[in-house]
This record gives sequence, structure tokens and C-alpha cells, in this order.
Amino acid sequence: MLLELERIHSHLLWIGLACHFIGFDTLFMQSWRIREPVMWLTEYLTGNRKTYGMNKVGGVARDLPSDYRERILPVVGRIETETLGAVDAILGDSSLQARLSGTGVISYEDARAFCVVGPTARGSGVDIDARRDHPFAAYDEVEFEVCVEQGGDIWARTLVRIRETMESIKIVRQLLDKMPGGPVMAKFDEIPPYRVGVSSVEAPRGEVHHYAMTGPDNRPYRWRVRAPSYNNLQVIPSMLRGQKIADAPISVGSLDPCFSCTERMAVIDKDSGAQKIYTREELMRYSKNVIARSGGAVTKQSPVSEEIASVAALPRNDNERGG
Amino acid sequence: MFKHTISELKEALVCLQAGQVTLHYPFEPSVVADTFRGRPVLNTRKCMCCGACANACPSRLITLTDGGGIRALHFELGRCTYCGNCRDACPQEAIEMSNQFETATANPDDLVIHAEFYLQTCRECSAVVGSQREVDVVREKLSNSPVRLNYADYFDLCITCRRKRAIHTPSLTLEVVP
Ligand code: SF4
Ligand code: SF4
Repeated sequence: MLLELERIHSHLLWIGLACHFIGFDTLFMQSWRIREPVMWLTEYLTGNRKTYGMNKVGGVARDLPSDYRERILPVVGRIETETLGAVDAILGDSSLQARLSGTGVISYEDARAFCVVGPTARGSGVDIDARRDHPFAAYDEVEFEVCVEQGGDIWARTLVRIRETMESIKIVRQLLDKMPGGPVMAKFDEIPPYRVGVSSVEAPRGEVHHYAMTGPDNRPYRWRVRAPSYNNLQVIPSMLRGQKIADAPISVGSLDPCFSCTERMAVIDKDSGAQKIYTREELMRYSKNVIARSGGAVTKQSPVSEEIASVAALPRNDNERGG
Repeated sequence: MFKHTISELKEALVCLQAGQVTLHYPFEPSVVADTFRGRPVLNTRKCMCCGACANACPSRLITLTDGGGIRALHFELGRCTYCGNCRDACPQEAIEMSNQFETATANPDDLVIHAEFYLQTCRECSAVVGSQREVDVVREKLSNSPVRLNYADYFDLCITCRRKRAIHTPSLTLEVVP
């Protein structure tokens, strides 16, 4: 349920940002105003506006306050009316539509080749959604529609996000009806070390994958996250090709990229505490050296454009949906 | 064209309905929910320096260091994720998640909690037993419970010396006083 509340406010945030990028600050302000009650709500429910700190190994950190139904329903209802009002206004706005249609086009083929995920993929007609394809949490107990649009342009992505906001509101209502009582934590002993777990969750921006290996002392030993922005950012060169520079900000913005989610390669020297961030070139050189040392054949330094071309030329596999 | 004008009017309506929503922050306080988890504060009167919080902290920013007859409990809150695990782990309820959220500072020392406790050393081999406060808390808890320790001088012995003693004096037992 918190993930859906998160999706509601994330999509409203994006609508605001997208409008800001194209200089329509009125709607930017209004959609952020509509979003704010969700933030207050999650602060009340979890103790924080954003970093909820709810998930723990074995359950959730705390139960919802006893009056959660009475707190959530009015907020969700108000957001629904207000979003519908705002959406009703923007859908008829022909200048907005003209600005967003035909810009930042990602074709179905590109979306598949670059493996974009989330609303970006669904805006290009790729019918994937981890909530339906690999149901986790309680998603197999609720009914919702996976919103897919065929346009591939920013307008299509906008429509996907607007419809998803409405779907999320529906899901929250269903979950409130079905919410079971009971303990919030499972009982378990020591966590066995060196076991591997992988999960895939449909975050507002797309599938996010976590890989974790348990270690001794109930601590994680290895942990790796692949955030959706990482996939989505790869499509930028092909999306921007042949576009006007003025379209670039909104095109990049339409992927809702989170750069801080994507860049996390820092190497810390355990003994001295010194920290070093690797650049892309260093990483490339490093990986090539490793491959060369291990007897691999890849030693040629290929320029970026060539790499992208080679990725785009990968054969399309129609059977890989959701996998 | 006509449709466009209507939608512009609707947009204007959305704005007009909203009224004024901006707070005069920071000139008026921004009130947080009572469940808000802000910066942890330590009640040094309640804390017994047991280290349960240090064990529970996922960011491992709480450290215990012994030296010079003193055990220091140290929080580097710059790395705090406000998860509240330390509060949940504390047996003394000494940590409170306050409602402070304005923690931005140019001075990292502002985000440090440092508390020092006297160490209790073993009467016989002078190894560390724990903090004096810890020993006092155990002593007090025992004196309020129906369980009596027959040898009260057991408290200022380290675990090794206690074992030695237990082997040599088998009668050293806990006794439930009716
Ligand atoms: S868990 Fe509580 S009593 Fe123990 S050291 Fe931490 S704050 Fe002090
Ligand atoms: S709130 Fe969490 S991160 Fe912060 S000190 Fe407590 S346990 Fe550590």
C-alpha cells in the first residue's frame, strides 16, 4: 500500500516537473500542491515523508496507526478529485498536447532494444509491469490495469502516468478493504550467511532489482541495486537523435531519471577510509584489463557511439516479455 | 480553439480553488506529525551504556570505546538514516526520536552525541566488567525482584573470575525468596 501511495506522489511530482521543464509553472505548483497531502499522510503513517524505513528482514518495522483507514481514505479521495480536475484541464489543453506529442519519441523497437522499464516502456507500447508479471507483496490479491499507451512520445508517457495514478488510488482502496490484522514481524532465528536473494519490485519509475547476499552476524555481505533509471537513461542518445535542443530537457525529464539512484560506484579503502569514485572510462579500462588478463578477446577501445549502435542492433526477442 | 479556452478556464479554476497554501516557513514553525522520526536524542540519565543500540544500528554509527577507566558511547549522526532501530533496541528507553528535522549544519560536530561512563573493572583481575551504570542497573533490578543473589560481591567480578568462583563454590546460587 505504501508503494502505491509512493507511486501516486511520485507521478504527481513528475507531472509537476514535466510542466516545469516546458515552462508551465502553474501546473507545476498545482500538482505539487495536490501531492503534498500524501507526504503528510505517509509522515503520519510511517514517521517520515520519504524514507519510510518500513521494510525489515522478516516483516515491517511498525504497525500502521490504529486510525489509518480514517486517515488514508479522505486524503486519497481528495487527491482523486483534485487530480481528476487537473487532468481534465490538461487533457483539453491543446498547446500542452502540441508541445508534448511527437517529442522524445522512443519507438517500440528502441524500447525493447534498450530494455527500458516502467512508465517509459509502457508509453512505448511495451506491456510490462512487475506487479503483474512477478506478483510480489499483495499484488496478486488486488485488481488493477496495466496502463499501456502506443504513442512512444512524451504525451503517451504523461497519459500512462496519469492513468497509473488513478489505478494506484483504486489499489489503495482495495487494499484498505482487505487489510488483514495480526503480527507485523515473523519469528526467525539467526539469518544463515552466504545465501542469495534477488527481488524485483515495480517502483514508480520502473522495475528495481535488489540482489543481496547474507553475511555473518546477521549483516548483509553483498548488496547490489539496479535502479530503473539505469535502464531508462540508456535510451537517451537514440531518443534525442535529430531533435531540437529545446526539446532535450523535457525529453530527458520525461524518463523521470534519478541520477543519484544510478551512480553509486564508490570505492572505499577499508584501512585508510579514503574514498574514490570511478569514472566511466576508468571502469571500462578496468573491466577490459580484467577480461584481457583472464584471456578474453575484448581489448579494443570502442567509442561510445559504436557501442550504442551495437546495442541497438541486438536482435529483438519477442519471447522475453517480463523475463 | 473553443475547447482550448475551456481547458484554460478549468486550469484557472484549479488554481483559484486552491487558495493560499504556502506556509511562512521559516518564520512560522512547520509542524510535523507526532509519529515523526527526527534526529535521535539520548537521555544520558537513563542510558546505561550497554551497547544494544550500537548493535542494532544499520549504519553502524554508534560506537563504544573503552579507555582510561571510561567507556564512551559515541553517535556520528551525520550518517543517521532515522530508522529508529536504536530506539527500539534500547532496554532503558533512553533514546527518543525527536521532532528535530532542521539538522543541516556546517559543523560536523553538531551531529555528534558523546557520553562517557565510568568503567567497572574486575576486583580480582581488573578486566572490564561493564559500565558502572550497567552494574548498578542490574543490581537495582535484582534488588526489586524476588530473585536474590547469595553473593553480592559477585557484581564486581568479570565473567572469567565469576566462572572460577562458581566452580570453587558450588553453593553460589540464585535463590527465589518467597
Ligand atoms: S541501548 Fe540504550 S542504554 Fe544501551 S547504550 Fe544504547 S542508549 Fe544506552
Ligand atoms: S536512527 Fe537508525 S541510523 Fe540513526 S542512530 Fe538510530 S539506529 Fe542508527
